[in-house]
Amino acid sequence: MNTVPCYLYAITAADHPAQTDSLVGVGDPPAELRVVQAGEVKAYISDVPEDLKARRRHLLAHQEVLNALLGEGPVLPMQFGHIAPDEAQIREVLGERSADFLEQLQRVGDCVEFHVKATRAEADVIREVTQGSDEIQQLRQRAQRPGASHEDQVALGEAVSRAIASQRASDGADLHERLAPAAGDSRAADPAPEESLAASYLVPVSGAEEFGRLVTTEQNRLGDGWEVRLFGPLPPYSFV
Amino acid sequence: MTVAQQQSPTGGGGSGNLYDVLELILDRGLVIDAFVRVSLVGIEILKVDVRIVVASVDTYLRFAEACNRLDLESGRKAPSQLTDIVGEATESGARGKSKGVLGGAVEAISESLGGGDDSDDDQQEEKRTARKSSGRRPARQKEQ
Repeated sequence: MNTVPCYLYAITAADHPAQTDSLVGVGDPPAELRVVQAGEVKAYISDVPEDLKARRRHLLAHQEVLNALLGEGPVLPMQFGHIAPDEAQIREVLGERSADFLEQLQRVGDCVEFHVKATRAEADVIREVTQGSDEIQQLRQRAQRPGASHEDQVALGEAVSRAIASQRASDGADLHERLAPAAGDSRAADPAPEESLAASYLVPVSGAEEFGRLVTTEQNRLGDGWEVRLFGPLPPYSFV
Repeated sequence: MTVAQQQSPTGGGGSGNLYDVLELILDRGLVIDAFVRVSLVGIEILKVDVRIVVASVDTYLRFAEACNRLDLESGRKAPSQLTDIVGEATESGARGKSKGVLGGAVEAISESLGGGDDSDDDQQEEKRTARKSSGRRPARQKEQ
């Protein structure tokens, strides 16, 4: 019985075909992967490297193992960095929660996640919110008159900052409404401050190409000044 | 199930988009409460840094300056030719085009995650983490 701590990558159905010897785990040298099975589900695991932290190379290894597993069958991707005390406890959890895991695999099984980030050129947003707001135009006049104070500039900047945030939120919501119908499920994240949208979409594998085309269509519709970036197919991180 | 590995515009599952899907890998995914999680202390604090930059007076002044510079009389600048495919637009570098007030802060994060090759400059990363965590807030050692 192996009683050393284990790093977890994913949970899959017991019949997931991926062979562990083709996978490269976290750590340097990379840990070898193995499988712990309990009934109808199994977990892909490895030893835990000594220096495991949220570092680039470990994150990449985690992501690449999951991408490889996804390429061969449905996976429930673990969040990065989960460590079980030993294999016995993994087996116990797999046994106790197998119905839940199987139900989730059923739900996301034929799907992949796409992540979409949309960013609009800041200068365009500033122009639009300024043209659309009497308040900002008044503050701008104050800030531009001779002898305008530091406070006048800050007041203008603060109003512009608020308006930008609100404009981005509304742009993002519009785009999300156009993309969501093509997905079985979706989950918006907190966009980074310069982004209008950061959202994940659960898309059937059969609809993946069409989703890609839809994103391209939206990029073209929004036009100059916008970046709409598509990431995927990814394991369904956001839907497990 | 076979997934057609449609390459994402910035390079698929490679390192190119690690930063962009970082939140998914760190914050989403299956969680099993019974198991522990490694420390994410450096990452947490870098995220906080970005929010601080957004709400600073410097940011407001920069927005004010950009607003003051606008020529509201003229229309929008003439649209350049639309890009046909998403890939073309993104390969030219979203980071370049969309870099706004926050460009610097976001780049700092990318760097600390190891912008370069995978030799991974561990020592530098250690220092940065140590310095940040000794500063403004108690370190959160374990995320459940």
